[in-house]
Amino acid sequence: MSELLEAAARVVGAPTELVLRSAEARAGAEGIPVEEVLRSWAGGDPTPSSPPAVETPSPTPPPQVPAPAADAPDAPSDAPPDPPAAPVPSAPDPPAAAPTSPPPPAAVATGPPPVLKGREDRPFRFFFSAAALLIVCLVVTVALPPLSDTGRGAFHSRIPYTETARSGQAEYLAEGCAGCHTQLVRPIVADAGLAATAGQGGVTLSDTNQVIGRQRYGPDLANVGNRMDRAGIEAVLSGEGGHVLYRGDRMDSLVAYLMESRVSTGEASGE
Amino acid sequence: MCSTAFLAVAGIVWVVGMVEVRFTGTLTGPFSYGRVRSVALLLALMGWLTLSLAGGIYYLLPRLTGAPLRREGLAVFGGTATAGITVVGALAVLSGWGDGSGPFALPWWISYPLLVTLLTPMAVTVSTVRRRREHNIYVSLWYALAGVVWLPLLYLVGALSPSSSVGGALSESVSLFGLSNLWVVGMGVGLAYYVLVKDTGNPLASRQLARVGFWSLAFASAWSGVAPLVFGPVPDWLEAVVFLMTLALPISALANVANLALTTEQHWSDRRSRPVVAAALAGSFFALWTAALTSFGSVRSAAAVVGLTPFWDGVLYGTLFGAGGLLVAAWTYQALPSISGRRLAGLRLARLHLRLTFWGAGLTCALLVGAGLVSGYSWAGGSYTGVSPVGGGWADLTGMSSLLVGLSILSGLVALAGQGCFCLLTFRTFTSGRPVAQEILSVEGEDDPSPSADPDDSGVREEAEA
Repeated sequence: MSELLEAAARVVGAPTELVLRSAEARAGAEGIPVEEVLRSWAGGDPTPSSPPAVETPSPTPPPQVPAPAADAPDAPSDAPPDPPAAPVPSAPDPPAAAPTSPPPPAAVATGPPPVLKGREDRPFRFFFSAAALLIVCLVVTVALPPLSDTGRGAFHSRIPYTETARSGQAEYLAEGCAGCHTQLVRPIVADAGLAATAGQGGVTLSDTNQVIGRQRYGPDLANVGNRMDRAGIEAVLSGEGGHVLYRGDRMDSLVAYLMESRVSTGEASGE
Repeated sequence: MCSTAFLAVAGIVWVVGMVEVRFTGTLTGPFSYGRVRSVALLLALMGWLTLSLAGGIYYLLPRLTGAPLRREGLAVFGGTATAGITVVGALAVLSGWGDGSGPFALPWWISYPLLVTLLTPMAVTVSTVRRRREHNIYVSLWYALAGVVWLPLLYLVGALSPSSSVGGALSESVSLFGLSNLWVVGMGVGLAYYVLVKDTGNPLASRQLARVGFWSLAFASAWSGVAPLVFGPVPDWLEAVVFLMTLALPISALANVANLALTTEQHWSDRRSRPVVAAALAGSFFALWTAALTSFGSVRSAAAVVGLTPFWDGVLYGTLFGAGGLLVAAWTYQALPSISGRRLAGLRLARLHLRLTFWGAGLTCALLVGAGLVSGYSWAGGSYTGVSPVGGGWADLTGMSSLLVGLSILSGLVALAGQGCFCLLTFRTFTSGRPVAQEILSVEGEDDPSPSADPDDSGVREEAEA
C-alpha cells in the first residue's frame, strides 16, 4: 500500500497525505478499494468501474493554477499556489449533473489524474458578509441602547451644568480622567456605598451627561459633589495623595465640574 | 521595520502607564495615566499591529491571488501616512490636545485623516482580488478580505463622538475590543494559516474547521466590547444577547487552535528550531486564553465582580501583546528571509523573544486578571462590612490588588525585553543577516487578467539570487 502510495505520489507530484485523501475520496465515491485507485494513478491498470465523468479529464491539465483540493470536502488543503503544484486527483463532481451525461466506459486511465476542480469561491462574499455582520452588531450594541432609556428601572442623571463646569468636563476628558475614574453607579453589591442617598440602593444610569468611563483604578466620581466639599476637591487636585497637579483656570473649571456632579434622587425618572 | 519601532515604544509606554497606576503621582503632566493609556493603545494598535498586519496582507495578496499587488503606491502612502499620523496623534494626546473621545482620545483633526489612511488596505486588497488569476480563495484570504473592511468600520465607531454618554462609552468599548479581537486576532490567525502551511509543507488540516473558526469569530467578536459594561448603562436584553454571542468566541479560538495544531502534524517536536511554528501556535493559544476570559467576563454573575476592574486591562494586554504579538512574529519570521533576501539573524534570539514574550505577556495578563478579581471581591466585601469605596475607604479596599498591579510591572518588563529581542532580530536581519535565495515575484502579462494557458505559469515564480 505504502509503495503504491509513494508511486502514485511520484507520478502525481503531490504530497502522499494529499494523494491518499484524494484516493480515499475517489474510492468511496466509486465503491472500489483504495489500492485500485492508487494503482491506476501510479500507472497500472485502469480502474475497472469508473464513474460517469461529469468533467471529462483532459490529457492536458486545465489552464487554472492547480489548487490542491481546495474545495473538496474530503481533501481539505490550504496550500498556497506558489510554487505551482502538479495536478491532483479529482473527486467526482456533485451528482446533480450526472443524469444529463450517459456513463462513458472507463473514463479514468493511466497518466496524470485530472485536476480537482471544486466549486469556485466568491471572494467578495466574505467582504460583504463580514461588513454586514459587523454593521448589524454595531447598530444593536452602539446605536440602540441610548434610545431605550425609558424602561423599567431607568434612571437619568442629566445634570444642568454651568458653563464653567462644561469647560471643566472638557478638561476632564482631555486629561483622560476617565481612564481611572468612573461616573457610574451599578445596581450591584459592590456599588451599594456609592448610592446618592442612604437607602436608595443601586441605580442604573440609563442615560447621563456625566463621563461614564470604563475603568476604576481610582474612586467613582458620579456623586462626588455630594461627598466632598470644594476645599477637599481642590486639595486632591493640588497634589494631596500624590494626584496630578492642577493650577489656575484649569483647576477652577475642573472643580466646578466635580462640584456640580451631584446625583440627586429628584432627577430620577422611571421607577 | 517601522512597525517594530512602534512595538518597542508602545511596550515602554504601557509599562510607564502601569507604574503611574501603582505609584500614583510619580509622573505628572504629559505622563499622567489618562494620557499615557490612550497613547499606549494608539501606538500598539495603530502604529505596530495595524502596520504590521497590513504589511502581512500585502505580502499574502500576490501569493494567494497569482496577481501582482495593485495600487502599490497607495499602499506605501497609506502605511507612511498611518505611521506619521500615529506619531502626531501620540504627541498631541501627550500634550493635552486630546478630546477624550474613542479609545485613543484623538482630536477630530487627527482622527479623521487617520480613518482615511485605514481605508487604503481595503482599496489595495479589493483591486488586487478583482484581478486575481487564482480562482480558489484560500483561508488566509477570507481573513484578509474581512479584515480590511472591519478595520475602518471599527475605527469609525470609536472616532464618532456621540452626544450621549451612554453611546460614547459603548462605542469606545466596542471599538477597542472589536479592533483587538476581530482585526488583530482575526488577521493574525489568517496570516498563521498561510505561514504554517508554507513553513511545514503540510496541507491545511481542515477547511471545515477553518470555516467554523472564521464565521464564529465574525459573528461573536464585536459583541465582546459590551462585556466590560454589563450592569452598567446597558439594557437587560442586550446583556443577554452579548452573553450568548460571546460564548461563540472560545469556539472560534478553539477551532483555530485545533486546526493550526493539526496542520503542524509531524513538526510539533521540532518547534524549537522552527520559530514560525512556535510563534503561530503560542499566539493562537494566547487567543484561546483571552477569548475564554472575555466569555467569562460577560456572564452577569462574573461581571458583577470583574466589571470596571483591571481584569479587562489584563484581557486587552493579553490580546494585543500576547496573541497579537506572537501571531505577528510568526508571519514576520516566515516572510523576512523572502523579503530581505537574508537569513534570520540568530535562531537563539528568536527563541529568546518567543520565550520572554510568552511568559512576560502571560504573567502580566494573569496578574491583571487576578488584580481585577481581588478588586471586585474587595468592593463587594467592603459593602457588606460598611467600608464605602470612596475617600479613605478606597485605599483600604485596593491594597491587595495594588500589589498585583505592581507585580505586573515586573512581568511587563520581561515582555518588554522579549519585544526588544524581536526588534533587534528584525534590525540585524536587514543589516547583517547572511544572504540566502531571495524570492522574486515576477508576473507575466499582468495587463491580461485572463488565466494563462500554461499551468506552470501561475503568475508567480521563484528565482534565486545570492
